[in-house]
Amino acid sequence: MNYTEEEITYTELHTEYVKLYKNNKGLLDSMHYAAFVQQGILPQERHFKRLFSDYFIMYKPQSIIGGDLYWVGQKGNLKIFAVGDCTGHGISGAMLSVLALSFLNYIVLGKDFTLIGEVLDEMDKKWIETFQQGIELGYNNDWMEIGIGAYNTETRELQYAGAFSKLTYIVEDELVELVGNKYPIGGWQLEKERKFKTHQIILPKNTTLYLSSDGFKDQFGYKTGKRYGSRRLKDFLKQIVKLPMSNQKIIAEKEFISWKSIEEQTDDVCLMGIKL
Amino acid sequence: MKKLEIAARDQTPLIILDKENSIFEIRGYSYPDEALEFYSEIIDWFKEYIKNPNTETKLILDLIYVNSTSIKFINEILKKLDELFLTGKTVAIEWLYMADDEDMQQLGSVLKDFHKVPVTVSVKKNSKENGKQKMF
Repeated sequence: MNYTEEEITYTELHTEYVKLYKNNKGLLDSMHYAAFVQQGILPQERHFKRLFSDYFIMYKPQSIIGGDLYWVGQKGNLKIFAVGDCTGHGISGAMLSVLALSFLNYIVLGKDFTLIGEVLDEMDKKWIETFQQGIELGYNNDWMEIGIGAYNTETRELQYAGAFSKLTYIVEDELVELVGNKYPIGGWQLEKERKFKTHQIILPKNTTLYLSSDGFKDQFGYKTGKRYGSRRLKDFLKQIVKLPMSNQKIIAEKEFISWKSIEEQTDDVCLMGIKL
Repeated sequence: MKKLEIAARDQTPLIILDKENSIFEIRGYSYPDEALEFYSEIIDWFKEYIKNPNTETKLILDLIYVNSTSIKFINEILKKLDELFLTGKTVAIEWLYMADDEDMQQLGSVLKDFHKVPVTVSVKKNSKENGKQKMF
């Protein structure tokens, strides 16, 4: 059969289209599967429930899988929780998040420490070691922002350390922010050995704590063209703080979606709330 | 040296790198899907520029939002300017942020602390559009 020039071009185009479609579908399928695995690596409800009866976790990767992470664990009398945000999102972010989780498991559960800041000191060391070659070639400077808290149920003392991260707590309608150090885990380094300060404070029962990555406050709103912002987020948390945590999660998700509207999600989102 | 000029788009900033007229600007939003692709051209430009720079270089960073991957690359640009600064040339960075944007103010301060090249962190005077649809 004789094809016209137009028909040949159409056939070629169609073949290429089908190739690309299959390729893209294959990639998306692997990402969806990876999301399933990432969910398995992150703490499950039963891990939370052993430690905190009233909590919520809102986790929304920007691109199926993501660079945000959360972690909970126990060490002696300390109930430990963390929220982290690795550079990038999608596949590269997710790989870093898995690395970060393995460091947390190793350091918190395997090493001795007195102050929670020491966990971040150690994480920074391990991170630099891991990417040493990349750093030497002047190439890699991935980093992680992370906030980590340790609550002693007996003494009611909260320890907090942060790398570019803040912990918000609300007690009796008063909102307080504990601010971490202004440098990340990894990334560009000035100091030989980076040290992270541990905040220590006694907190009464019914204090509610929040740890968040930047994704919520950085979300662009379709209707306003503005970012949600940390001030608005703080006001929002003050509004919902008295509700049961499971309700807070639902309302926070609604708030996020209503702000974002049809705008694309700007970054990975991770918001953790814990009622002591 | 060839001028590099890229119009601002939804997720990438306006780039003007003009050695002849001594204009070096990055303005707008930076959260590209392909950050490496976008920024490697710019970093390569600076690598070339510092081999034969102007006696004075001032880079304006006027950004509304920068995602973490973009910050990585902005750091690489500033590292190049650190190198230039250390050769004794006059180099400065002007970091501009919107009046009520604590985050961008903080980011400017952090970059200032981490780099050798002098960085001034100041409020942007005019809240005009940066060639982008989003309104402030």
